Amino acid sequence: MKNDKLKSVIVLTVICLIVTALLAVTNGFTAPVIEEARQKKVEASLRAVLPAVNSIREISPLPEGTPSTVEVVYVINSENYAVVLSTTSAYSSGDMGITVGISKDHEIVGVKLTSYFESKDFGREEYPGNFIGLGADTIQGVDAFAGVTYSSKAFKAALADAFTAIELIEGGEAE
Amino acid sequence: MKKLKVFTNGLLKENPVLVLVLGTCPTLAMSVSVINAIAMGLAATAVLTCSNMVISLLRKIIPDTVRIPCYIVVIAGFVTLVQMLMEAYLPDLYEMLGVYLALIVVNCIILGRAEMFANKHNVGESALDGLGMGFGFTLALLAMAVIREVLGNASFAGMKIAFLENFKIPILTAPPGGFLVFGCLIALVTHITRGKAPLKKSFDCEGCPSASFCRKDPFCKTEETEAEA
Amino acid sequence: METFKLMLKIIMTSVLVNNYVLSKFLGICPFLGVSKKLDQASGMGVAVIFVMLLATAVTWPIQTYLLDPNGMGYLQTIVFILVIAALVQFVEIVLKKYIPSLHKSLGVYLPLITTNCAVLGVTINNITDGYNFLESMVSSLGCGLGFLLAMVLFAGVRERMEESEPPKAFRGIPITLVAASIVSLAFYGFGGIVTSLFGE
Repeated sequence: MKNDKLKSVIVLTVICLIVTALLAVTNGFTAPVIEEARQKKVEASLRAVLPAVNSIREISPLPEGTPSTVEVVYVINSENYAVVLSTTSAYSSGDMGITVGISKDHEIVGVKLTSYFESKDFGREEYPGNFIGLGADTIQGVDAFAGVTYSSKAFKAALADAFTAIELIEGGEAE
Repeated sequence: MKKLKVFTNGLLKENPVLVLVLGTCPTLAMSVSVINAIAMGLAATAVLTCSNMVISLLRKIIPDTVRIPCYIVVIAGFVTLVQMLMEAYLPDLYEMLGVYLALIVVNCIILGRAEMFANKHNVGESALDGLGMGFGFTLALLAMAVIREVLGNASFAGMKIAFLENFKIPILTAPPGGFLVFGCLIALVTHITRGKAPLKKSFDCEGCPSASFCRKDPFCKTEETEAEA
Repeated sequence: METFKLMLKIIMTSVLVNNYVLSKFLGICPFLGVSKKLDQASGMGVAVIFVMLLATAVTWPIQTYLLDPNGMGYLQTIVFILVIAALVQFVEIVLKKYIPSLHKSLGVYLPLITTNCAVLGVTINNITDGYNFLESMVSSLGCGLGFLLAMVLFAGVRERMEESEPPKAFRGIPITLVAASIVSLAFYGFGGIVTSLFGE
């Protein structure tokens, strides 16, 4: 009886160990591929909002007080910024993902909605386009997209957060 | 000939979804579009075939008392394997399937086949059974997905169908549509087979593959004793 | 106040908008199998809430402090399912020994929960959604409450359904699914309610 119990435990443990070992080996193969794909995706999303991307540096950790919508800030070609934002205000059915490119003069160069779950087509191209060339003070002047007021508001608030983050970073680096 | 029968059994006669009514969760969730359905079906087929083979190989080694945990470990291992391979080489599909890919672990078709078939048959038969059941699952998912995507979204595998554009029924791609289409499909199967299928007549413990190890199941027993009383 | 609002929002979202059973199709088996009678439905619902909370309380720290720092995030699925299975067993033994009255009312549902995809689903979703510990617990509570609500409502619907006489082909499983579809349709109407209640 006792022998049986011992045998059960040993078999289960051995199976667990073998499975784990096999998975670790596979992970060794796939992890670099996954990482590379992720990197490529990041680069592609940054290229979409900034004209020339030669060097990318991620700011980590983000300075204290950075708004919670800001996920990652990249410094592009050591002068421009690209900010990845995620905001939940879009009618709760999912996060709204935004990537915004901001020039060294604090003007928006390009904006892209990377994920958006509402059924209404929030003018994937046109609406974000309204913000190009604007700065921290002028973005508030853009009207909300008709029928999608909540999402427009969240979108604008997220862009404002991006500027806040950049100011914090520059303030920190100047010190 | 007998081998062929093991394979075709799962496709139609004992189709896991439409006849045995198992794996309801992924069937409802992943039949929104044809591409989703095929990806989910093939991922589950891969896991089912591999786990069936391994469990059949180990059937003499695994002690009866810990067989369920052992099956779960083997199945979870293959699911993780599929997850990693998909994330690396098919990242778009990986994202589409989301949490449902990991949930193949608790898909009762897979545990059910391990318990009902693989631990009693040899490797070759178990592999064929896995393939048959897996393709049967894929086929059923595909049938659901074709109905939902064509009527609900006026498209097939992402390609627009122009003449249906003005007659979309969007609710079919939403959750309520999943229940509705599945219900109607099973009713259709019942009608065609004159009530011979589905084998499972209601969602009770009988016919659930977990019933055998759901520990003599006090819960199921209460129902029975009530019926007797 | 801010935190409280956020918690309430998570609960409302997971109970009404993203209801696990009716809009994410997780935990369909018990939803359709154990909803014939109201007392069984509510018992199952309470047991699921209990296990979801417990599972989250254990799996979240495991993922955050054990798997992630060691680069073993890929073991998530296998570790979680084993932990949940072991946990359910353990709880059953403890309940049986020390609180037999509770075991009598909840115990019968516990074995059914081990392979319930809602429990595994909620633990994985908490990690993918990037919730912290408190948020994870609240979200599990919300999902569990949503499950309970769906079970209880559907038990009511089914009692009426049993008395009805659908066409022959629809008897049994098909009509149950169609009824579930209508309940799900009712919940579909909640989309957007959270933003309306809580604002941005």
